[in-house]
Amino acid sequence: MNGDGRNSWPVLAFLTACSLLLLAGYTMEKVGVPRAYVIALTAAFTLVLWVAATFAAGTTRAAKFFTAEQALRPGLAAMALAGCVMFPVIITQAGGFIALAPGFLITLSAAIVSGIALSVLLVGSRFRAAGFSDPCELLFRRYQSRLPAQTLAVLLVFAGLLLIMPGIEAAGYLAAWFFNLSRGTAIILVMIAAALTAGLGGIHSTARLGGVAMVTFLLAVNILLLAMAVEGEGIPIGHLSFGSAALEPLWDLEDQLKSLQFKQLSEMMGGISPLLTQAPGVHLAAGILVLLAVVAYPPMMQFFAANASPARTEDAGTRAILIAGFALTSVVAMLVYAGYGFYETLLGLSVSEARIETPVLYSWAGRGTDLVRVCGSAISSAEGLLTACPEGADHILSTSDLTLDGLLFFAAAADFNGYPLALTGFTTASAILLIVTFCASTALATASNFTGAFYMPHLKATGSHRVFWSRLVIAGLVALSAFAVHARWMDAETSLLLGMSITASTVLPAMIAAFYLPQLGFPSVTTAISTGFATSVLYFVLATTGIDFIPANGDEVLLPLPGMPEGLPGPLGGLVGATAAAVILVASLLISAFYAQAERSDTGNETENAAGGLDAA
Amino acid sequence: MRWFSLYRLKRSARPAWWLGVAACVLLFVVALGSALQGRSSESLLAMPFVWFFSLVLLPLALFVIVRQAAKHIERTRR
Repeated sequence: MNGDGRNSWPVLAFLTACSLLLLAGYTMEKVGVPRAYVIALTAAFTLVLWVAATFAAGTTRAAKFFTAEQALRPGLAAMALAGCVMFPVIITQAGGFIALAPGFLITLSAAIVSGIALSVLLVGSRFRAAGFSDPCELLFRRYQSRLPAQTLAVLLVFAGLLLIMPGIEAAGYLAAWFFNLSRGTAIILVMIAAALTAGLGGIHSTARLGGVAMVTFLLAVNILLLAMAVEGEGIPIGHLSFGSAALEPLWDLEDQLKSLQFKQLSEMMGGISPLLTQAPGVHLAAGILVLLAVVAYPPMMQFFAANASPARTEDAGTRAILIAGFALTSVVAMLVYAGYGFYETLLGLSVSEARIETPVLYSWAGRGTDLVRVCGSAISSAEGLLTACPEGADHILSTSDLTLDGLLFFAAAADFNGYPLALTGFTTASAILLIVTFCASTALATASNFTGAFYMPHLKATGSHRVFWSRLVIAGLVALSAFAVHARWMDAETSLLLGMSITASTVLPAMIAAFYLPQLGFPSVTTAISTGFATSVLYFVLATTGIDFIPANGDEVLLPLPGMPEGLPGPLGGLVGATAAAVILVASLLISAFYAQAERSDTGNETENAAGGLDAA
Repeated sequence: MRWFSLYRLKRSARPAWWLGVAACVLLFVVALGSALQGRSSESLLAMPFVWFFSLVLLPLALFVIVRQAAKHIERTRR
């Protein structure tokens, strides 16, 4: 993972660490070592990976901090690009996706991959060719005016806050559960990790952690997927066989459970977002919003800017399409197999059999959140399982006896399917590192934009001072996000979608105008950015609470669209905002075309008169 | 240690590279065929496994399209 040369030793060290964790954890569990030691080993593994990626890349040089001295190799840039679009909702709502709306997860995955593709084509190489690290500095230099740059920078602070919040919440939740921490402690640790990753080495350390996290994530998900696909039917390549070998049997089984009036997976899970129960039209709209936001996603643009040349940027971007597509397909396949495997592992077992075969039912009690409750109780020992349900040891477990924490379904998928704890630890560690990368890249991009707009226009601006101010902004942003998460200001999915809405309705129109509409001046661009933001936020307020700011009292205004019986939800107001911004840009184009035509006519008339005068003379 | 390079592998073992690509395509077709076995083609698009195969194909298709488009834009720009 060293970006300075073709050194294979860090890669070997990394693979050795992963193998050691899995082998040691597996052996310890088989020999009978208490689970706490495997969990401690996983904590050490996570910490070592994070420290190695972050601290080795610490720098005070501005060129390295903001653009990695434009020496980022396409492979590492591609991994980091793919890592910064693995949104936390994919991990935390994984259970809900599979139980309720697998089509929504497919739509989201397709939107992310398509967004990367469009970004590479429309924005990537042009942004790299411009030579700046962030869109705000580009706007300032392009239009020679602070107004569009500073307007966008302030709005991106809101977007950054809204995007980091779900990341800190997700990583904190996973860390609190797996490592048995309190919620506050987990949030503080994640906050420190994200702030240090972004603040110590800037894009250099964020890219390295992104590369490490993405590889760990791919390994964890695919090892589990391979194990499940080999045990299942059809060809043992889960990416190809999950549809017919797992999803259709899962739906057939759930139809049978429904007819027998037993609970299905969706009814067993808690923590499922209400967004997943919405109509398919809403899911499609959310996919389109994510696609638009990813096209001009500021963290991605910063990774584009860190490549050596526009051609290398395109190379990194196209590789990122494959890596992100592979990762998302692996996640979908793994979750489908895990859902079906959950039923196969647990259903039909008697309590006395479950004591031996499914230790997951009593291994996770006594933590801040209960992974699984049996007959209404969190069981802390094998003996406790015998007395939890009526009929004692002879009771046959059914879906109606179990309650799951849906937010932990992804992390605990291996445990639910009877695989070693080491694999659960590996999956959880990779998810935490990936979400920390997401938070760090968002914080860094927001800080770069802010200093690019407010500090760089000063005549005496220096790179080292910019680094200093960026670190302050990163620390402030991450701390405020952590406080907001601790105080539960907003639920994670609403926060993420609102952040995406602001990004789609402000950055995207600004970049389209800067690269493709040279005839427009800074007033048009600023108006488009402001209109996009204001429309998105106004729609969110009107759709969520109505003009009186009181939610659910009947005066909410929702846009009726095809496929959405209840209208477009408020957090998706970015679609309305992006449309409003586009209307502003088109209107500005027409007006400038009209004035250009009028000027040409005037110039033509003056030339004719002058010629006529000469001719007359 | 010699750095692994996909480009060098392709150049030095071109027939093996294309053999590998053909094997992947064959595997994909076999998987699709076994999934389609015994199903009616009328409701093909409504079947979930078709969407999931699309999720596998989409990144590959986008990769090829974006590469070709970028090369075309570069040639046009020159």
